Amino acid sequence: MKIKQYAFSVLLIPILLSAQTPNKLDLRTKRTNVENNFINSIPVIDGKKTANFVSSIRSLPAVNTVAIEVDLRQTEISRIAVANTAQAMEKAYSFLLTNKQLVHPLFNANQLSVYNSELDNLGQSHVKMQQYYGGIEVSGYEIFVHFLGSETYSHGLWANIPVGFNTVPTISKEEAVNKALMAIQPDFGFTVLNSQQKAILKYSLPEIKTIISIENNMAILCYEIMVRPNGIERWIAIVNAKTGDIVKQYNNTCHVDGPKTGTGNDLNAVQRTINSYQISSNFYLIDATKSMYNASQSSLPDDPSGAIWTLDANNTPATSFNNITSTSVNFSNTKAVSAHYNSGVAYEYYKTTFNRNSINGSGGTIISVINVSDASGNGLDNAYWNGQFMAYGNGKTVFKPLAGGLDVAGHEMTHGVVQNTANLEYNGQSGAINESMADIFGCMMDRADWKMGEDIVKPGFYAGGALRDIQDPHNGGNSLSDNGYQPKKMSEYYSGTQDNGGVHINSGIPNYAFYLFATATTKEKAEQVYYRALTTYLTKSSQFKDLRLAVVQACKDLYTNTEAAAAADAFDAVEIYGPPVSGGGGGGNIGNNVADLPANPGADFLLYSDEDPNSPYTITKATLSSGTIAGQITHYTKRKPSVVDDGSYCIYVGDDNKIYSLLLDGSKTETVLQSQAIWANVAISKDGKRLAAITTNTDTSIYIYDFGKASWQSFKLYNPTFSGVNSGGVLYADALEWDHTGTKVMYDAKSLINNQNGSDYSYWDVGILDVWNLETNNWSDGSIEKLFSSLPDGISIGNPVFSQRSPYIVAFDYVDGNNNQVIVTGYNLNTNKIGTVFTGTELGFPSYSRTDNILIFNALNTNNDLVVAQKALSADKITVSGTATVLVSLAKWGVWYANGTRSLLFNSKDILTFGFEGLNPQVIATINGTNITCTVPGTVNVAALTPSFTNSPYSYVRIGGTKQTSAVNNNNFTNTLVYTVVAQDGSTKNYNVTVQKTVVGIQTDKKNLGINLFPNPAIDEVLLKASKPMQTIFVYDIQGRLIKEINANNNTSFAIDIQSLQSGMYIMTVKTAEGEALIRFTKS
Amino acid sequence: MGCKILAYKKYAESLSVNFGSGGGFTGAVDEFILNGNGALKSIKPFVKDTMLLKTLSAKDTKTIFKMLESKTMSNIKLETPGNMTNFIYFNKAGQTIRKYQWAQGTQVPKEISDLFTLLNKQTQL
Repeated sequence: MKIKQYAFSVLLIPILLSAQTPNKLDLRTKRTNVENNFINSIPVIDGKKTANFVSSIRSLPAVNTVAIEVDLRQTEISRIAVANTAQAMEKAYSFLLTNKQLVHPLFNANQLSVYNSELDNLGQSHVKMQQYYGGIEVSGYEIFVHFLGSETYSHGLWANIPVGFNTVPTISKEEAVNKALMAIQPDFGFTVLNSQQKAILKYSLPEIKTIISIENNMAILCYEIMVRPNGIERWIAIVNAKTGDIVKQYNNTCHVDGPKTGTGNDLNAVQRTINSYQISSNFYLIDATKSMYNASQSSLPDDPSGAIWTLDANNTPATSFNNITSTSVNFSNTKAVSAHYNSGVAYEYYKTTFNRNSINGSGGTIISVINVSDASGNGLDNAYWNGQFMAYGNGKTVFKPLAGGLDVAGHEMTHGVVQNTANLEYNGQSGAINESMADIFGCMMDRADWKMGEDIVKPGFYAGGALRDIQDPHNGGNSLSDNGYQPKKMSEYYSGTQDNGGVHINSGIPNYAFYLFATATTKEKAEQVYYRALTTYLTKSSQFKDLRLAVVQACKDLYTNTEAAAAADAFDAVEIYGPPVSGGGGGGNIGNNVADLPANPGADFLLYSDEDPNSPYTITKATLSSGTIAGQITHYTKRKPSVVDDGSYCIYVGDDNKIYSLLLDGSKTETVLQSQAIWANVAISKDGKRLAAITTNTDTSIYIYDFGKASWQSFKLYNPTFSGVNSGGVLYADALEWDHTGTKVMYDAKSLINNQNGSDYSYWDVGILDVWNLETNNWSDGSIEKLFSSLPDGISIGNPVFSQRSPYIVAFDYVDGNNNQVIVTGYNLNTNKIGTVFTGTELGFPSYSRTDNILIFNALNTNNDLVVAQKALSADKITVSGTATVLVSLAKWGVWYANGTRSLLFNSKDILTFGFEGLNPQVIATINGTNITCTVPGTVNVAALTPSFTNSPYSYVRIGGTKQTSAVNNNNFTNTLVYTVVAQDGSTKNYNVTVQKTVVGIQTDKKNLGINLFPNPAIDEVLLKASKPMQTIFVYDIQGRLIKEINANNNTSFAIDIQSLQSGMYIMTVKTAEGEALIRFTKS
Repeated sequence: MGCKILAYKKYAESLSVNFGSGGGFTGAVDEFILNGNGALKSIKPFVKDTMLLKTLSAKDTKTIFKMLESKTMSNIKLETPGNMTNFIYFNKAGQTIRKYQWAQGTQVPKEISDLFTLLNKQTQL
């Protein structure tokens, strides 16, 4: 029965506790289940992911249950309500006396003594009684009485000791102890305990008590003697107190359930120390010895918390799991030993090197699964991280069982670390960084060499003897068609679509950069720098250039400019160059691919729910500049109003469950917008084009109405989580918030999952639902992205809002069920940074001010009255400066809005930098309006060049219909190319990119144009004279870099200041209406 | 009638579906291709050869392509690759017209999981 729930146990770990405490977010709205024809008529986009694995989980075989053999006297009697333990004891005696015939005709309740009576957390009472005869314990004879609601049960043993039984011993206690010491034969012999052992064992001499032992239906007066012959064993001897005979003796050494240490040979025939957990006579591959282990939250063996846990998939594609057990502390399953041991090493690496507490950083259980098959049930030539656990195949064609590689374990565990930190998107360059990080830290755990998978490849497949080689990504090959080959620099970059855009291929480039950096500094420094880059600077969409910036910055944070320069050199070597403006060597801004909208230019207003008992109004509008207030409506709303960005009107759901709109122009015109009495909450998009609504049902959908199409669309919610989650998933959404573009709805939703014991666990989290596609001007695919991939135990989040100006800043309520706190929290989606704004006990329902310099939220004042409070924000908009003050007393659900108009879509569409960083030296283009020009050395093949560029945030670049990626797309620049930048609002701007080659051998032109330069060499100035009017003069250094571009204004004589030039040779190109001339000169 | 059958046969022969799984530690891909004429081939990882596994019956082949051409399937968008990614690529006349890819272990629409299971079942000899 327990096995049946493994899958659930595995997956519920992060959220089990969150539902065990009453959740404030639950209290916002009640839900029902009512059929509604209107709702049923709305078409559905079903993004819900169904649980195709659930059936296989449920079909797992159950373990045989073992019947407990007891002398059961079970009786149903009349209903007995048991309120407390004292009453229970009294009722227990009463029950047994009433039913004494069922125990024994001569049952004597006076021989029973209650030694335990308790009321459990289910409200059931249990009374435990021991039998005594003449004050002497009748060993093992006890009766339990259970009050289970309306029924009462008892079971146990009662001995009918004959009246007159002699309870006076014949032999002394000393004699009995000597008999006992003679009789027992300890496994570890007799040793003298030292004082420390005596203190720990609380033992100095044999302990003796008089008992009545029932043997073969005979009552015998005995001494029970406990002896500790050594520091390990604990023996019990029962000595006949009349004759001195040994009645029985046994080793009662207590094999307490708990962590145990043994050994086992791994797949490489190396004996490993294995930490397991003993439960009864079985040892499970559960390592509960780490500091992260949480005994109070563990239910072993099926649901450990903070353990390292290894399971067996039984040659399924990880759709069913068994615990791996042994009958001793030693394990013979070599795959299991490898996986378990390597997980422990990986855990220790992160703990000791970075003080990181497990994969999720907060002591989450690390799960490894062996014997994983492919989708068809055949051998899996692979290992992978599935978002929750590490899965190891047994190999097939190319690999031996993959659990045998420590670097494999390190690689897979690092995918989990990446998921819980930068969460790098598994596609293109961000995906290649994800793979590279997994390789780098896997390699650092198995740091004797730079190879990956060298212990698990079969001979003959890889020329380099390993799957990958960080030191030499070519790995003995010459091209992608060779097994194990990876590119090592950007000029070898794979730009195809296979392998999610080459995530396992292009990872060779950052891998090699790491190798170069680590050898230039040390492995110890390099791993610290990369860990900081991963956890502090990289974001979900980071590209190779961002990795360079992150690594260089991390060097500066942790070490000196020397290390930063080494990092820059390493990235230069793999042709991942710094931003053009920096001149190489690092620098630049990290995470600068975001921008802010202009502030709404209008006046500031506040709309809030009026909680003043003396006010007739339920929604009141305040003009913040004057402090004047104006009541708006007098009926209650179900949730806070939603206001369009220009502040002209708001919408809300009334207490009659209908959707209303209200003009905010002072007319207080209220209109029923949707008359079906089914709604629980509604939000209008900031541009007023769409609304999102939820019903009062326990409904997994969000309903979107588009005013342009004049139609509804239902979007099914789902949890984009991993295998084994039962199909329960999302129950219903509550809070709704549109993004600035009117294409996405941020919501909070309650999810419900069944625990292994059948009870339900629920939690709230925040998702972002994609509902509208601006390019197609139609419904989107309903895909969902979670704000956080997982939440800590006992935590829910809800009531999310976007900031007014920064689409990448949100605030929400962080509900800590463990401490009964609500923390109004700010979060930067771009940098993953979180800030605490206010800690209280009320749900905050936060709202940003017009310029994002203030956050308002619900709070209690010193009189415990509900108020709308405010706190000034720091420039980052997620942390605060100053203390909270009351904005409006006796109020809640403040919504800050303004009445101006502004663009809600970004229209910036500029190319900010353009150049060819891959050329040596780099060539940086000149951007003049929409013309981009540059000159490359004459030896460069302009028919195949890969430019690097940056463009405005939220825009993208294309040539014709082909999207362009900086430093990836290779193009022919023989003729001028048109680069089109597409802004978020769909507007475009064309840039003409012209690449010229430095011209050689045009001396005749110089003569024809009559151009002379003197003096040459020169120190401060050169003078140009020409027979034709000169238009433009370009000065290049000897490497072809443009140094100066000078407008000669059609003069025939022109002086050029060269004081700022370094000494050396330069080339000057002089443009006239009749041709160009090239002149060399030397700066002395 | 004969013309109709011939026309469908010609149309069916323009269809194919690639499917499989790939990624993980090795980055290797186990890939298969089912052609509209029922030929099921494996595309071997590392050595990259194709090998005919078996030929499906016309009925089974039609069932699979009918599933791919259903309106429900055409409305599904699934682009969520993960460390280990499952995929189904539907091709017509040599062009991939629809791609589904998802991280192994993630929950996907039932139509996708049913089709993926059915396709994988065919690979068992």
